[in-house]
Formats: sequence, C-alpha cells, structure tokens
Amino acid sequence: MSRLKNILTKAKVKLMYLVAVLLIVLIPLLFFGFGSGLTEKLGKKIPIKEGTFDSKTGSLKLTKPSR
Amino acid sequence: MPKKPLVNSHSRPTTIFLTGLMFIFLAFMILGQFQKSPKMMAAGGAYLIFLTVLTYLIYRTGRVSRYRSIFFSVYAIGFALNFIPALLETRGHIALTTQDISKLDTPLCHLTIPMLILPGIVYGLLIFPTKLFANMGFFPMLFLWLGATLSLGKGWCSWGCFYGGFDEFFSKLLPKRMLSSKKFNYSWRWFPFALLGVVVIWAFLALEPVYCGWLCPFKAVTEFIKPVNWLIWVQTGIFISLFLGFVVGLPLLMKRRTQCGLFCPFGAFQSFAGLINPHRVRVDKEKCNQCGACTDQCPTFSITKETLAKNRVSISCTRCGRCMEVCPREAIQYSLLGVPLRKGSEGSSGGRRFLKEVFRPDTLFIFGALLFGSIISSGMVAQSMLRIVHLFQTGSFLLR
Repeated sequence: MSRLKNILTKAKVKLMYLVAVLLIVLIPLLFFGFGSGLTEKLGKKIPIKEGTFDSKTGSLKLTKPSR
Repeated sequence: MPKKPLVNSHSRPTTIFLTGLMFIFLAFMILGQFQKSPKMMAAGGAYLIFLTVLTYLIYRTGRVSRYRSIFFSVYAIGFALNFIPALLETRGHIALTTQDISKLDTPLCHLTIPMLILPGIVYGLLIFPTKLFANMGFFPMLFLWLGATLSLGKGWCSWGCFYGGFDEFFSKLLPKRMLSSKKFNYSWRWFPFALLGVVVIWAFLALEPVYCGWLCPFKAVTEFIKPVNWLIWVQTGIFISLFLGFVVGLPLLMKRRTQCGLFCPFGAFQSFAGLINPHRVRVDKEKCNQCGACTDQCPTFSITKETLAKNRVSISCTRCGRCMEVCPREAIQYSLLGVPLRKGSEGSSGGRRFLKEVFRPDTLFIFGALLFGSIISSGMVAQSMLRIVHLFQTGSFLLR
C-alpha cells in the first residue's frame, strides 16, 4: 500500500513539473496566436455584442442591432 | 566569511544555460515582430540585451525581487511614455469625448474584466466602449488575460501588469522608510476584495464600468474623460488624488506597493483566478522561526503574523520574491502545487546538479514569468526608446 502511495506521489510530482514546462511553452504560442487570427475564430464563438453608446451623453443604450 | 547564496540562486553553468535559452526565446519573439522596421529592430535589440543581462543576474544571484523590480519599473515607464503619445497620434487627443465613446474608440484595460463578466453573461453585452476585435479591444485583452492567468496566475501582478511597475518604482526611490508599518492594521489588505465586490455589483446594476469612471488612479497615465461638467470634474479630482496617494505618496513613504496591495480590485480578482496556476509561494515550517523579516518587507502586505503562524502566505501574494531575499533561514520558496519543498542544496556533482537546478519550481516560474513580461513589454519599451531619441532630435515625442 505504501509502495503504491509512493509511486502515486512520484507520478504527481512528475505531472506537476510537466505542467510547469508546458505552461512555459504556452507563452510563445499565445503570442503567436494573436497574429494568426485565432482570436477572431474563438471570439466569434462567444455570444457577446459591442455596446451602443449615446454620442451626446456617452452612456450605454441597451438596445443594439446584432453584430 | 563569504555570503551564503540565496535560496533562488543558481550555479554558473545552469545560469548560462538558462540565460542562453531565454535569449533564444526572446530574440525569436521580440526581433521577429520588428522585422519590418530597422529602427524598432535596433530598439528591440537594445531591450533584448537588457533583458538577457537581467536574466543572468536573477538566476545567478537569486535576487529575484531586486532585478525584477528594475524590469517592472522600466516596463511601466515604457508603457506610459508610449501610451499617451500613441493616443495623440491615432486619436489626436488624450481626453475621451462622448464621440470617442460612441465610436468605441477606447483601448480596453484588463482592470475592467471583473466588471464585464456579469453584464456579459446576463445581457450578452459589452458595457465598456471598445471594439470586440480591435488591436487593444475586448477579445485580444481577454485572451491575453486568460493566457497570463494560466501561465503566471497571481504572478501577473508582479511580472505582467503594466500598471504595477508604477508603485513598484516609487516604492524603491527613497533609501529608507519614512512611514513605519509597525502599527499598520493588516486587515486593510482585505479592502481590495471588498472593493471588488462593490464594483462588480455596482457595474452590473449601473451597466457601466464604474471603477474606471470613479476610482481608477491609472487614468493619470493613460486616458480620462474630458471634464465638461461638475460630475466629471469630481471624478477627475478623485483619480488624481488616488494616483498621488496610492501610486506615488504612500509607496514613497512606506516602501510598499500600496495601490496593488491595498486598493486594486483587479488584484483581488486575480488572487482567485490565479489559483488555476500551479505555482505557489510556501513557507517551510521546519525552517521558519517566525522572525517576521518577511512580514516587514512584503510589498503587498501578503505575509502577516497570522499567516506566518500557519506557515502560509496570503492569497494576495504576487510571487515577487522579496520575502525569499530577506528570509535569513531560506524558509520561503517558490513551489509547485503538490510538490514537496526543497530541503537542502543540490549537491556538487555537475550533470545531476544542473538537471536538478533546471527543474526546480523557482527556475520554471521565473523563466515563464520573465518570458511573458518581456514579450508583452517589448513593443512598448522599444517604441518608447524611439520616442526618447526622437524627442532629443526633434523636440517631440510624436513619431507621426
């Protein structure tokens, strides 16, 4: 039992190191993603619209035609 | 007697390897984006050299906070020197008018993100006057924040935020603390969390990003609404006072980052969001003798007597590394979730020591954080260098 626990602990430690290394690799990929149009692709899947703001008062109008 | 190496220091071969690796990453990322402009290439090259030297110093000496602080201050100054002239070049003026707002001509700032979530979910509407896909619009900023949260967690506040460097800079200017924090009531460190709750609910009810309108001190170094009536004059007075108080005055007197530690609601939000990142700062209970050196020095008030008694740092810890520099017993370390703390040195045999040092939690966190901060700051700092040269040549900061 204790041997199994030991193996699991070691596996967990190795997994965490792997995650930490992958997070470093993610950083350049993230910045490349901005130039590749990935932002537009993913963004279009999120249902949010730009607000319409009154040009005289600057306040938000709640009615808005779809984008 | 020779000085004992700090907990985050590395042997020379490991430092050279890590510095070389950072140089390759940064050369690829920074110079790659400036290919079309020889001037930007030169400025980017100068910044690359600066970053490479800093990487070497951080890893070799283990003085993470000292050299990070230089990087962070340069980043913030570069941001300010670039942002306002860039606004003048593209929009023709700094102060926002109602026309600019209706044209959605406002770059999004990450500090607004907590206020956009509830209206976004309930109404499917962006309550900040910015475009969805513009260069500094909603989605680029949202994905940048998501990436930062995943890779840095709360470390964003000490390595990636382009505002954090301002109070960091002012907190380093005076050699000695003018305002003692011995009698400081550490309960104030919960104020950003309370403010976060207030602004999130207020923004949802009012359908406007109220923190930006009423409280954000960083309008002093970015943009602000043109004062055309008494209400906007009041808001202007508030943000100037907050900037002078939290970003300049108190950091100067207390030598702490008071805006980030005692006011910023985004910092509080990031404390929760950042938990998805596996990097942590932990206290070794076998080594810590509760001397309080870290409590006295933590820039963001994240270590108190109470947290230390539980061998923990507060959720608001920004991973700046200051506590590790001042701890006389090497009791505080960068660590990874679920990974036991380091107990001793790596030994002296070459290859094994090298591998152990490269795959240490502090090595990995610092590498990722510095890489992220360097890439995100490179455009701003390089551009600001060109603006300074241009100022000497022509008397103007504006490049166009």
